[in-house]
Amino acid sequence: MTITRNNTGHPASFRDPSGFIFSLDGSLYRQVNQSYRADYDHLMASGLYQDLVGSNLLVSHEEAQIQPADPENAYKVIFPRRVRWISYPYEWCFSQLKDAALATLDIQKRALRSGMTLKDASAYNIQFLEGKPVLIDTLSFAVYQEGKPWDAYRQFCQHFLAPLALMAHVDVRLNQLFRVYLDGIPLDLASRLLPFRTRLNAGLLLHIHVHAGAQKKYAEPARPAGRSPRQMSKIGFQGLIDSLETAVRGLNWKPAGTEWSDYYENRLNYSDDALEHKKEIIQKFLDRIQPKTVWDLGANTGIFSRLASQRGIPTAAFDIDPAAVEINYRTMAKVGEPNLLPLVMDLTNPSPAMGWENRERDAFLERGPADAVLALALIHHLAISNNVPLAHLSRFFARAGRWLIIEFVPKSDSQVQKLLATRKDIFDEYDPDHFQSHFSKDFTVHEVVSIRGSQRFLYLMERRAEALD
Amino acid sequence: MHIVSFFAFGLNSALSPNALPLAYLDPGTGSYLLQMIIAGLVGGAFLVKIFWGKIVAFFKKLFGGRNTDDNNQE
Repeated sequence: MTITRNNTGHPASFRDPSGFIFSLDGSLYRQVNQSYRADYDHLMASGLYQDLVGSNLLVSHEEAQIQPADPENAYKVIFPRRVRWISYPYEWCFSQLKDAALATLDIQKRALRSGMTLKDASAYNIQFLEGKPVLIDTLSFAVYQEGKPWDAYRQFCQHFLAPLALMAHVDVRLNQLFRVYLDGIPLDLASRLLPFRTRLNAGLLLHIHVHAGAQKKYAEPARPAGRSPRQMSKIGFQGLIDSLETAVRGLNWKPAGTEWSDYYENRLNYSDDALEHKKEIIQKFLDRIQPKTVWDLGANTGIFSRLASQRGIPTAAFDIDPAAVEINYRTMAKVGEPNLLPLVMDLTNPSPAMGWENRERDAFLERGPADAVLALALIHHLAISNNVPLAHLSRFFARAGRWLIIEFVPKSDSQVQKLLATRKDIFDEYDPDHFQSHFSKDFTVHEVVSIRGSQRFLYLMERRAEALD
Repeated sequence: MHIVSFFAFGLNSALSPNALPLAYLDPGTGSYLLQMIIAGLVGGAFLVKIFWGKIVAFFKKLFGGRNTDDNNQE
């Protein structure tokens, strides 16, 4: 069977002529084009591939013996290891973006030692695999030509250094600018937003402020000239990478005014006994349904996500609060939890489909459904703070996953009382009966358990076959 | 930005399509030029850093200290 590139190529894989991703029988493959042959062979023969894969910096692959999607241009087809959850930099906390930046620079340093260089430095080429940032684009390498500058310098500054500097020095939420600027934060914008004191930092002065000025000065295409090209020595190249690394390492952010150990306790409304009972119920539900994947929506610092991930279930833990996700990620990185992926997500406005034809970056729900969804201490935020009717909530959760473990927090609960303290109560239907009645249209309720020492209930539900018709 | 102008004379040839057989990204004229200047500035310092690391590693080895991993292998 001959497959043409146009109808099978992944919609985000078209910029680099070295090859492209395509799908066949539900699996993702990458075609390596003839034009990339020398670079691919160098990557594999130089020891760089083994070095990077062995260090968890590059996704591993096997060479596949299948018909290429575009046989005319094909050199090889490779079958990369699957990344379970695709995530994007506007869903990462500060340390995730910083670790992705440092991984990119580490890869570039190792590439130079093996006579290669990264020809791009896109944050979208990094994904989290077993808790670690890895490069997923095997075709990002090119044989290094002595004297040639780094093609990806501008991209690295826009995708990593500028957003990290903005997050560290202005506001951690500014990585949301990625949702507007697909190719990273424009440096002139970053330079204008950053406080003056960042000009006193050599790395930020050079790589962002002066860089923005240089881009402005040379915005017009260069005029033809007959002079010989100026070269950039290898030691200068290494110095540049070292300078970028120093700049990235110098950027730090931590949740203000929070001690990590009691962060969760300060935000909860549970006695120790109720918390333990809630954990017990969730564990019992998980053991009963044995889900293959879990999305924990409103995961906070991941205390309940871990009930799933520690059972070996790949679990994505979403929360709107960058501080909670930061704490979750740092704990995950410190302990080494391969099945957990903390991400920032505003469920009232989840990540949309973006890029060319709106198909380069998948929307949040397009990356599901998960086998099971946890929605713990969440529903009152959506139903009351955001005025979402219960029927709409039921439909949303039915799209997100097959199984639903959801906590109903009644009006009498002090957390809901807080939400209602400054507004009129227009939520006549917000009670357990209406909740169960609306959700029963999309779900079969298997179990309802009252959480000891609280007024809350945990439900185990399963999506009806006809729910999304 | 005079220093940028000073280095600009070689840029046009360096940016010609024939000089960039591997590139699919537009490196950006200003970005391309600036990194050459920065490389010129930091290259020497980087050499000193590596050299210093090797001196430290040598003395550590000489005096029986543990042979620590040198991050600056180049």
